Amino acid sequence: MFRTSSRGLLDFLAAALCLWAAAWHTPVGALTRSAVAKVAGSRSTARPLLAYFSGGLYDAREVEVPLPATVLPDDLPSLELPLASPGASLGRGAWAVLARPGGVTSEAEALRARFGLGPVDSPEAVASVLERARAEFGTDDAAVLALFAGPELARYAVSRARAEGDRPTLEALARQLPPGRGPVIEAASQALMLGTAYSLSWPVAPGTRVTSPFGFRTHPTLGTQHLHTGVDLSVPEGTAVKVVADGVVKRASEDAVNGKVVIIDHGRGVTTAYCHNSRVLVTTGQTVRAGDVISESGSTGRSTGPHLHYQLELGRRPVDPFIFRGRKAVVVELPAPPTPPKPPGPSKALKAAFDQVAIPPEGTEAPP
Amino acid sequence: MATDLRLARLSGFFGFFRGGFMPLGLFALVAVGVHAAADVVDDRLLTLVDGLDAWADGLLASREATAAWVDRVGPLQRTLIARALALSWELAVDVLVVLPQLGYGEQDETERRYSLVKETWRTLLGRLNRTPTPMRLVRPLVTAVFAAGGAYAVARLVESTLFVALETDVAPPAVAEVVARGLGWLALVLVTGRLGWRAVLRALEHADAACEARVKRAKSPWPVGLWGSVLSLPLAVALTLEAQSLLALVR
Repeated sequence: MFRTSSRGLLDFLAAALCLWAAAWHTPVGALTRSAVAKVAGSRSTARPLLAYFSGGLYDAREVEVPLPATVLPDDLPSLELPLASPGASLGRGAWAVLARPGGVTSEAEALRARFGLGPVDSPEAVASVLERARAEFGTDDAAVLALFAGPELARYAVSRARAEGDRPTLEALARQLPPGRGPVIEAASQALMLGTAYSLSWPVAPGTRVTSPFGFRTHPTLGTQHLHTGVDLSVPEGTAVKVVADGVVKRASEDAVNGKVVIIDHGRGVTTAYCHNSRVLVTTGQTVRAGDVISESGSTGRSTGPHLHYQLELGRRPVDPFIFRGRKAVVVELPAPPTPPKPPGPSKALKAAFDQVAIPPEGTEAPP
Repeated sequence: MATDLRLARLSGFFGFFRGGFMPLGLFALVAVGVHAAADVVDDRLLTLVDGLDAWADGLLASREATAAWVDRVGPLQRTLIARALALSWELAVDVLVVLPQLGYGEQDETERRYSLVKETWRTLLGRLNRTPTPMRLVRPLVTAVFAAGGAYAVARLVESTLFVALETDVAPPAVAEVVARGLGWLALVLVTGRLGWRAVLRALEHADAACEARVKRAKSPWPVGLWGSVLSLPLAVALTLEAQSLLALVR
């Protein structure tokens, strides 16, 4: 049906452009490049297949969480922490990425020089640069991209994203960048994620006792090591639980382990979860503002003592929320209750599910 | 004059290899469009998987015997599941809908003169009108959407790559942006004009041949290629809904 043409330069150019785009930007291209590299005995530069979807901007790689700025002794009874301003938080997040091996990039230096500011050698200096960049490029996302990709590329990406009718979020800006900018996008996404995490407030009164910190612990009933994915804050039943930043309610439901649970999506790969509430005051899809009361604490689900299980996730991976409070969690050891004889109680399978509470069910075993 | 001759010779040289690069180019163009569509549905799949997980947790939690299974699938696993679903969907459409593009073939004048059946786009459309089947209707439509999406993705890549290349050393950013935009436009016109229509017609040709083969075996052509059509149609719709970004070319 198709007639052969004796000429082929334009067709060749069109086909070559399509093959170039497919080779570098589709999973099929990645598979082909991997196969070719295998046959040739060389190393493939193709990314993992699932990394070819832009939705994975914030969760493609585990975020490198910085160490807490200050470590306090465990026996300090109460902590009152000043909240950082949004700009300062972003500066801290970006500095946490810039301070890694590899140092401050030439793009960051170019941005600093453009505004005539001093050296980028501290979170405060980065915050100043970002403040000026935000004024020029319009959003925090564009400012952070300018810090890692350079001002001209950021300006270009903002102009093209706006032309496409998108808000200049990092996802929209990343779509406008040329091939080979993966490391820049990754650095910017981590800076934004960490900056958002640094700006979070606390769901209950600062200084509330921690009955079980984040991290691996010996499971109270199984005696094996389990990751406790949040922190347990000891609060009386009915305590108002406040959302730690603006966001959208992703889940407001009840189940047998977490009890009445609220999960909030704060954007930029940051979500927080609040478990074991007695009442949930929001619905899925609702927009909330920082400080809004979203629930009342309780002891629903696998819990016998009133407490709030507060969980922070960056890039869909749980991290210790105290890292972003700048201090080490203060853990209060509860007095162990007398050990009663073991009731016929929960099965081994049920015990396995019991990994998120501070105090085991009454009448089973001592708290961790 | 000499330049024209050299260009004609060069073009003739590439024409000699068109049997190799044309099918590959068509395949690549449609595959890029399918990936653009899969990228659109990726986030919606994640929302769906999250919702399913919440629903399943509620169901499991309602019985003591199954309560231990609540929260077994963490957020990271849900993300992996959603992304793996998007990837599988894309690869399935690549195999069922895009792969036949590799069957693209051309005839020269001698071959046409002596061929028993002289197919043209008119004869294909005639059979489509007489015996419309899902495959004959859907394949050219979805291929047109994917080809348009692919051509736009190629143009965007050309534009951003050229902007960076020019802006660094060659031209001031404002000039680089205009030049890159112009060449991006040119890439879009080139890819659509040389490959886009061929991909659509090749999809119709393949659908027609598959349906006719079924008719020759005295079977209904209706179920032919149903899986490919069912899988590709939602992706094409999703990509069409994102078509506002095409307007960026004129902004």
